Amino acid sequence: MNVLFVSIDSLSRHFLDVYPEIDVEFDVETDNLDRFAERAAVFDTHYAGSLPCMPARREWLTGTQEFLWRPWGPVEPFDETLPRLAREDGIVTQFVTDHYHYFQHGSHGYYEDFNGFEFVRGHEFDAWQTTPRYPDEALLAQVTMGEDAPDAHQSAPDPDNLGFMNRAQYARNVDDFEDESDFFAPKVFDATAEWVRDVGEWDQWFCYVDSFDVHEPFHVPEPYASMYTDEDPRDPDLVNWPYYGRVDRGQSELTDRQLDFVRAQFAGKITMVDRWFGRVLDALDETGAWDETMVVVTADHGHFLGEHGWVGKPQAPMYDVLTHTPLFVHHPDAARAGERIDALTSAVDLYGTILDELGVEADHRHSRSLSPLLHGERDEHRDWAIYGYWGSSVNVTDGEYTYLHPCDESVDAECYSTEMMNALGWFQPREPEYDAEAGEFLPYTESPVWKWETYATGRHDDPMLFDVTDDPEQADDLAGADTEQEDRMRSLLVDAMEHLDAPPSQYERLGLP
Amino acid sequence: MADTIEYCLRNVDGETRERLAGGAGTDADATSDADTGAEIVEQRCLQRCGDCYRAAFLVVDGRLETADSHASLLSTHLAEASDR
Repeated sequence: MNVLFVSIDSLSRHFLDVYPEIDVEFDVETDNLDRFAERAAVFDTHYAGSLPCMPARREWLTGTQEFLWRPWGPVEPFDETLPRLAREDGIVTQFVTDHYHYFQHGSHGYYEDFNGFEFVRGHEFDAWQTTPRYPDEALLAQVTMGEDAPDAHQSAPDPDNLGFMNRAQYARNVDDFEDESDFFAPKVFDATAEWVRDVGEWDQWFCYVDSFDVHEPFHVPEPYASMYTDEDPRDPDLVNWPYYGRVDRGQSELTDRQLDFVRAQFAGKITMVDRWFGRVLDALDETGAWDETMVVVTADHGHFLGEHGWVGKPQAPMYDVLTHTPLFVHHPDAARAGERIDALTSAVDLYGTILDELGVEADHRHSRSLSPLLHGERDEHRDWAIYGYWGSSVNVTDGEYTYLHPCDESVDAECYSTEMMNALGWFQPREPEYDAEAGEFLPYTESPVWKWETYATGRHDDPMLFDVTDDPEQADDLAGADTEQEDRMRSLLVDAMEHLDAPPSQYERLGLP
Repeated sequence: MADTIEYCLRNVDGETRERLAGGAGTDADATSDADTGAEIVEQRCLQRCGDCYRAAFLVVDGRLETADSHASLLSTHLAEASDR
C-alpha cells in the first residue's frame, strides 16, 4: 500500500460543507474536497493533540503526544520518524511543502529523513528574498492592520528593520508574484500531482504533503480574493494578517469591516487550496493509483476568525474552533469507504495508521492505529483525547463533552528535551538554560534529557465544560452547573494523564489529584 | 493615557512581570492596573519576535514601544496617568 498524507494547515472544519454542524456566512466552494469525501471515510470526531504547528507534526511523524513534556521543537534522537522507518523498509519517501517552520529556528529533524523533499519558498516569514528593500506599500499596510485600524494605531512594518519575523519579509517574498500559479498552494499541489504521475517506477511509496495554506497571511490572488467579498481586496485599509488575540482590544482589535474581510479572504484561500488539491486528485485518477494508495487529508488545527471574540491562535480557551479538526481517509480496501465515522480519534493516531498501512512494524508510542476502524473491525476507538499547548491548560474530550482545565500560572512548567529550545520564544536563536538538570525523566525512552522550568501561560481561570453534541459552537459553559459531567470529565483527564505517565509536576500545576 | 498595555512573557524578567502582573491576567481575563489606568494583558507571544529578541518592549494600544528597560517604558505611562 502507498500512502499520500496531505495536511492543509489551519483548515477550520466549520468552513467546509462536509462538516455542516456550524453555519458560516459563505457557501465556501470546495468541490474537490467534496468529491474526495465521497470516496473517503469522513471522521466526525477527530481532535488535535499537541499544538500548534510543529508539535502537531511531531505527533503525526513520530507518534509523540508531546505537549505534556515540551513545546515546539525538533525531532528528538529517540524518535522514530515515519520517513526513516519507511525508507528502511524499502519504501521511497517524498516530502512536498511550503511550510518554512521546518527550516526555521527551533525545529529540525522533520524533513531530513525523506529520500527527497521539495520546498516551495517564501511563505509567511520564510527568510527568502532580501530584495526589493522597499516592497509594495499597499501590501505592507495590509500585512499589519491597515490605515483603517481602530484608533489608527497600526503602522506598516519597517522594511529597514533587520530583526527576525519582520512582516516586510512576506511582502518582499511575493513582490514579483503576478499569476495564481506563483502562489504557494498552487506550487505545492502542482508539484505533488507531478510527483504522483512520475512515481510509478517505484514499488511502494510514502508522500507527505504539508501545505502551509490556508495559514495566514490571508493574501490570495484573484478570483479568490473577490469571491466572498465586495471590498477591493487591495485596499490598504483592509488587513489580511491580523495579530492574534481579542478582536475588541489591543493590537489584535478589528473593526467589523476588517473582520468580515479577513473571513472572506480565509474562505477564498480555502477555495484556492481546494482547486489545486483537485490537481492531485486528477493525477490519482489518471494513474489509477487510487487502487493501491491510502490518501489521508487533515489539518493541524483551525483558526479563530471572530469566534468567541478571538482571532488567530491566541492565548484563548481551547475551543473546538482550534482543536476539532477535519479528517478524511481514502483506503481502497476499507469497509468504511464513503461512510461517516463518529468514533473519537486523535491526531497522534495517524502515525500508527500510516505505519500499519505501509506494512512497517514499529512501536507506536502514543498512537493508536485507525486501521481497525477503517476496515470495519470495530466501531469504537478511544475513550479520551487530550490536547493543548505545552505549559498551559490541559484539555480532554470523550467525543460528547469537552472539558478545559486551567493551570496555575504561578507554578512554572517543566520542559523536557535533549535540546534547549526556547520554551516561550520559539522562533528566536536559542539560549542556554543554565539551571537545567539532566536525567532519565521521560517514560517512553531511557535517553537522558534536560529538564528546566519556565513561565506557565494561563488561558482561563476556571474549568470550562461543553456538551459538543448538543452545542457544537460551545456557547453554553456547563461548568459549575452540571457537576456530575464536570467531575466525570475531570476524572477522565486524570485517567488520560496517568495512561500517558505524565510528569508529577503536571498534577501540581493543574491542581489535580 | 493608555487603554491597553500588552507584554510578552518571553520579554520580561521576574520583577517586571510581578510589577505588571499586579494588573494583569491572561489574555482571556485581563484586568485593570490602578497605576497606569490601563488594561494589562500578558501573553506568551505577541508575534513581535524580532523586537522581543533585541529590546524591552510593550505594545500600547496596539503600537510597539521599545526601550532599554520596561521601567523606562512604564514610567511614561505612569506619568501620563498621574497627570490626569
